[in-house]
Amino acid sequence: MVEQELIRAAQSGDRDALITLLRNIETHVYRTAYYILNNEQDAMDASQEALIRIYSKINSYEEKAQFKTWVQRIVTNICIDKFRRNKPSVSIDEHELVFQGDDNVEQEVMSTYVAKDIQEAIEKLPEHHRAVVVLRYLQDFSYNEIADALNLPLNTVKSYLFRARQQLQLLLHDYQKGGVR
Amino acid sequence: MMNCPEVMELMNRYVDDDLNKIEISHLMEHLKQCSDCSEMFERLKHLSAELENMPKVMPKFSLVDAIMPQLDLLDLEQQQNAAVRETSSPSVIVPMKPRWRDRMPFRTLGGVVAAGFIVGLFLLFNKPDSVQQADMELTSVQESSADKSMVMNESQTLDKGKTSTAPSTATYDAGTDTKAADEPNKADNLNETKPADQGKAPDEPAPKDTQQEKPATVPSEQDTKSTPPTKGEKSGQQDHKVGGSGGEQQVPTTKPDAKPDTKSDPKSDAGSSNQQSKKSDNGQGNDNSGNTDKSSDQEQDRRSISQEVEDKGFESSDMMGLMSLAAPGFDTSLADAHMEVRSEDKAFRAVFDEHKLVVYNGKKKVLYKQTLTDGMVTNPMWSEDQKTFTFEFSSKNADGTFGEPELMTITPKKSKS
Repeated sequence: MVEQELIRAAQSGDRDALITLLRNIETHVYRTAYYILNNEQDAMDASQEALIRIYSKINSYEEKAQFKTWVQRIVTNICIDKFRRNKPSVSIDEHELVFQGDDNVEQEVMSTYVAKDIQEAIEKLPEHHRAVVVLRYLQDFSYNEIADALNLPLNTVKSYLFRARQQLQLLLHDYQKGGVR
Repeated sequence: MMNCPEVMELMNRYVDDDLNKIEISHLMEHLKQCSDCSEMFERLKHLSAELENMPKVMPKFSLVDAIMPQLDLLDLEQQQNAAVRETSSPSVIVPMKPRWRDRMPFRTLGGVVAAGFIVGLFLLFNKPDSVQQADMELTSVQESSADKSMVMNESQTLDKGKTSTAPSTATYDAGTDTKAADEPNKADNLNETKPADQGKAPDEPAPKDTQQEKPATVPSEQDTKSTPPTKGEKSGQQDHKVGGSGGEQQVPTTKPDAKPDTKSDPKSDAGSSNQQSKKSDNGQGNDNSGNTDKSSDQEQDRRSISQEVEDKGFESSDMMGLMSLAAPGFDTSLADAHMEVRSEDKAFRAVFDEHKLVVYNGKKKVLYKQTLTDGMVTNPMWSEDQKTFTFEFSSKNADGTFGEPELMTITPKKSKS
């Protein structure tokens, strides 16, 4: 069954269809939670919570939205709630976002970031910037899909994403400058 | 000619594949002339590529399997909701106040209930692992205030966070004490006095062919009718205000509280005490037969486990027997399933029925009540010192298989009498 049929079946009370649907999305749900919360256990908790919510709220999904953006909205909301409870975030504005000079360029540009560094850098982003990055890169969402999922205006999505990239670059640049590599 | 900030946006949109050909050519044109932007562009592409290559992490185990017990519980609650709505209809004389409460939205039942609701929600959503536990409630503080104190310890070896739920519900229970104080007595009386004249009841559960039979074959009518009356039991009044079940259950929460002395309630009370008296009778019969069969074993173990299994009649076995038989489980989803386990000193009885576990003291008072999802109960036993009741619970998955058994521990405090 394709997703749309599964959803309809689930909404009309077919429990098996609903369970299948949940199985299909659980990895996506977990991935988002993992990169927003940056912690395996929290990600487990959050994604289970999200799946339970999807299970009990399946009837509130309307076809005018994409199912995947509806799902991601649920999981990002849960994660952002958790995130807020866990730790206060730093405003992105505390970092000066300036163009780098041309003095220290070449070899750094070509060197490869370590995944862990990237993850740490992502962790430093404010919640919504982080969510935008995660949806863009781990869910492969378009600007519009991100806007739907996060309930943000399109322009806001773009500016979050662009600013997040710029900050990531700065952070990773710092790592490389100060790091062993 | 574009300035650098404008180009910055183009670069970003470029890595997002959001540029058309014309825009791309504008971008490239600028990059040729501006080394800063050109450098930035390289870095941006590099970063974006790295982000795209982030590990596609997977959960360690199936999350859906992990939440299956909670999902079952949700279904059960919904069923019960529907059932209570069905049975709550007309021709019942209902006192004014409860009636009024019935109609009120759940949240307006007062701070106490609201607190319960929040606790319920908290358990339901904040610690998904503990939803099953959320339905384990401490019961009857009104009883404890009268003649005994009682403490329940709940722990599950497989779940760290759960033990913390007990204290919070306990506090909350205490809060309801005054509210329900005038009602339990009546309920108690009903429960205590009725059993004598309820001889017919034991026939009630229709024997089934096999214990493992799917609940689907049980008429749903029976399902819905048999569950709600349990709410009428005395302790149910508080149970359902407190529980995690409260999160979704408006009706059962108000219901039992609302109608302690209406027509319907005595009935349900009678019904449940039927079963109680029946159980105790049966239990004794069991004990006897068990003693003749395996008395030595039983004495050794200082445990007496009596078990009523479907049409096989009553079986009695000691703990070793249960374990060596690879745990003849108790399927909680069967409407007419029934099993009871007594402590050796007869101070407590743990009684399993469809979807629930109730622990009674010697006086048939409900000390503890817990809703069980579909699943298999194995190895029920009282501890050596008769103070702790343990059993393993494997919840049933959607495909009919059973999950990992979880150890459940219940410690009722002995009444002083």
